[in-house]
Amino acid sequence: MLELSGLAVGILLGLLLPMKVPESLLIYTGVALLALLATGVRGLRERACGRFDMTRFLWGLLVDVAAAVALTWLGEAMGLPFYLAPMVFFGGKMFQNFGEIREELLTSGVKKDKIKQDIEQDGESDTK
Amino acid sequence: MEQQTKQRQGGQAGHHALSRGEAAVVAVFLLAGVLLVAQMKGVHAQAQAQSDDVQYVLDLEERCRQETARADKLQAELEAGQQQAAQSGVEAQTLRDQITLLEFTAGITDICGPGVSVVMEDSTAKNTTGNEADYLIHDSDLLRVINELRAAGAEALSLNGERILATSEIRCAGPVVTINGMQKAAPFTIFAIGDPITLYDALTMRNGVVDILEGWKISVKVTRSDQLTIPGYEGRLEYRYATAADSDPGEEEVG
Repeated sequence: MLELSGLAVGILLGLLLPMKVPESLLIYTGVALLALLATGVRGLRERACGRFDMTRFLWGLLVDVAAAVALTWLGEAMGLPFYLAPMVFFGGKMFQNFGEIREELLTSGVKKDKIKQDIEQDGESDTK
Repeated sequence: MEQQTKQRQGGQAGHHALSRGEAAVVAVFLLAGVLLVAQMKGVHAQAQAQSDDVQYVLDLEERCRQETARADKLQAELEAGQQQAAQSGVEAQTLRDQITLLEFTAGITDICGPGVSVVMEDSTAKNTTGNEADYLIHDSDLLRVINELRAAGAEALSLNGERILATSEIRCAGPVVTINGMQKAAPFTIFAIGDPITLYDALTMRNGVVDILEGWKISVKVTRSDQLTIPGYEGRLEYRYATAADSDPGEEEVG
């Protein structure tokens, strides 16, 4: 899958670049990373199901990452482990989306024949 | 980046160009990958820093052990040398006796002998004066006991295992007392080597130190003993200002 090869290229790029998250920011980048991954998986699912919407996707990405980081900051300020909330939420979301993608892929074999019939039409719904 | 991914897109399902949606998801994953590695590097660096700290402490401990072993070895060598020198003649024997005497006086060797042990505990009496400090053991109480023991001919003294030298301080420092720079807390145990009966009587005589302290219900237990061991001073003796008088004939006041 092209999307996952993007992840591979990113990891490769990260290994090549000398970037390192400073110790004090680790917790924030951690939840941001989780939000990012969850958004990515959500994008995968939406594309697999053909319900992808660019505007929603980008806004979701922004708001999710910002909310996760803000909540974590609030937790740090209050001395409560608020970062657990985004962790549980995004973790659960990811599994949910994995499940839906799996279902989609398993049933796609059935759909494939139908897609072949109208091959001229683009199989995926490309939102403009 | 979109173009770049477009080029590598050949392996995908084939004939349709990379859509914007696909590019967005790929971009998100790309970013996640970069961040993931940066995060892992950060976590690794953090763990590394922590283990470095631990390693530093372990190294220091190890060095401390080595240095102590070295000091012990040198001490043994010194003693062996002294022994050898002592065996070489009468003059050397005199010198050795003198060294032993000076070691006793300096308080750097463990010594044993008869004497008394004094155990002092803070008062258990009900506070009627309103001043908590009246019921605690102070440096002055300890000093008075020690002074009395010295007056009665004590030859060596220790407080809670810390040898009392000619230069030792006994001083209140908050809830504890410092001696030789070490903090010691109640109960205080004073060992004194000397004539047990004289020492015991000097402390417990009527209107003596113990009598007065017991007036404040401060428990003072004096026990005679046939065999007490007093440890030598474990720190380093250092004279930075004092020099032998004949070596410096400059301006000095003879006092």
